[in-house]
Amino acid sequence: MRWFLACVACVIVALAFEWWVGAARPEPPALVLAQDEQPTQALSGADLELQPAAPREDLAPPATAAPTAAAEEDLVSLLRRVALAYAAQDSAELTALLTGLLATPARCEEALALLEKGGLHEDELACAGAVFTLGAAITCYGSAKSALAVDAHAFTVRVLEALADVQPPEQQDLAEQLIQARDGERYLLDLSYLGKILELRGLHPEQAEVYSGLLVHLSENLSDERGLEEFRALFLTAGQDPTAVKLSLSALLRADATSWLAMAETLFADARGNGPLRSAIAYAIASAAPVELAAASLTRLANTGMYTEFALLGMRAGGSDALAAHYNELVAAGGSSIARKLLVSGLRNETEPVLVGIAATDPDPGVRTQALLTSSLGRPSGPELLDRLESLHARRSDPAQGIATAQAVLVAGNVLINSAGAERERVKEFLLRIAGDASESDNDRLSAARTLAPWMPPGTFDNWVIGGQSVR
Amino acid sequence: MHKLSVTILLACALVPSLRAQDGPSCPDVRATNVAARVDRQGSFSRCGLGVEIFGVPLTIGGSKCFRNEFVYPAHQECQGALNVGTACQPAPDMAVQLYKCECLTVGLISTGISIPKCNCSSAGSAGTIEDAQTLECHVSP
Repeated sequence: MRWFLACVACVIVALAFEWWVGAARPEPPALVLAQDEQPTQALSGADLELQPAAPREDLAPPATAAPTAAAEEDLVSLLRRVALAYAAQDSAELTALLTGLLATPARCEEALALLEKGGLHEDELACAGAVFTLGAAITCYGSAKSALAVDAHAFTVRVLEALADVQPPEQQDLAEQLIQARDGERYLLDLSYLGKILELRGLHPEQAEVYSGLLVHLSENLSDERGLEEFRALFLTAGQDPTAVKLSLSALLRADATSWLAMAETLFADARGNGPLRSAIAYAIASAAPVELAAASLTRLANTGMYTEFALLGMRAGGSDALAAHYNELVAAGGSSIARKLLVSGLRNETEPVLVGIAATDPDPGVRTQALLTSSLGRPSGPELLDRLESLHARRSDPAQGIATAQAVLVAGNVLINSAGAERERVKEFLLRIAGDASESDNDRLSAARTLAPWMPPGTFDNWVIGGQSVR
Repeated sequence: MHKLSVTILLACALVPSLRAQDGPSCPDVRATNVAARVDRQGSFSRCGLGVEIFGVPLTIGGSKCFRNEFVYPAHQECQGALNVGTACQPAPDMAVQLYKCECLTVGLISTGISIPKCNCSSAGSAGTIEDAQTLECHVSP
């Protein structure tokens, strides 16, 4: 009996000890967070605005979690873990976290609400996690492969509506997620959203640029008359919004270039002094009008600094031929040297002999230089180009025949970057000759030496001083 | 005496510039600043992390990576901005640079982590743009 009582006493003591130790043991980090912070799901919109962002030092160490456990975890903490998993390039962790979040669309809505009210603005990690999560949700819900029963259209509209109240820079990040969301080759932000985007653009004129940017793929895939009408209205009312002008004009030029090209050129002329608007118009013409019409139009509009547009047209199917045809017409008629120079800048698909031929025959030194620059840009050059470079430079004193040293140095710089072996060695010698030639101007000598310096052994120019300036 | 001669010399030096401001040949314009800009050409890829969620392949995060970037330097242009007593004159051309970009996986030192990054390198000078400068008008006496 005594033995039995002793055993019962021991069991009671052991249970009491276990209870005491268990009470003293700290909770796991996730549970501590849940106790310290109010669950965000329970907060109203006003509460969300007031909720201070959690400091970054509160971060719990990332740990792998099953989706069911993730669903119970505090949302801000989960969003930070999404960003941390991305930063660690941990695809397994990222997949687990996003799977858990996306399985409950209400959590994605909650993340959007936090982002919309600026509740995550001070918390970079949670903010990045929210943008990643929403981007994944838009794509996943809108994909035909997805087995989730979510109204993808309604969710995307909700994100579009919230966008106006999201603070930059996360606003632009979220807009990019919307623009880039794709199901295979199909962009999810399709024409079914056009009306909504234009409505929101009108409702939030201060955010017009952000909403205009969302139209990029809509304008590329315009097929119905109603959509075209919407873009026509946008073009006529967008005025000074370069993105809206670019996208709406692109849509209109794709549909009916002959009708809209004249208006585009008039608008370009009226936008003198407004670089961004002029670039937008020229970009629309280069990317959307039929190549023949685009080449003719850009030739008329050609202005210094339109390299991007001419390069874009040159990359389109048939674009290079159209540019070459207009160059030939202009050179035969003695037309604008600026237009010829830009036309030649778009001929990057032409062979070296063709471009070296232009460098040998065009009457303008700027066009001759451009032909050599175009040929040596982004691809290796052959001896024919170097022969022409040296012969044009040798006649530099005669602008009708040669090219100036400053221009020759630029061409030589391209050859250094893009060529190897004998051509690179030859151009090194060419630049070294200029750098050491006292008959050249100090600026040209310095430019040659500084172009060459990264390609020479360390210390080569240590003691070089040209015109009172150190080459280094 | 010394002060007088200095005053006369300074007065003589000032006469041409005073005349220049009223001179009929001075266009009374100055060069206008044009900010540098980067034009990104064509479509882009995103250097992000690929994952698959509910059977849907996704790219998470990552910066936009355009194949071509044209960098136009800050320069000045003659746009007819009024400025009494000055002229807008051409200055030496400036180079427009082309950068070619692609997604590369870059290792972070001492972490064992590799992240995809948009890496751009110079392809050279794509062309030149004209620069301009403001000069005071000088009318010969």
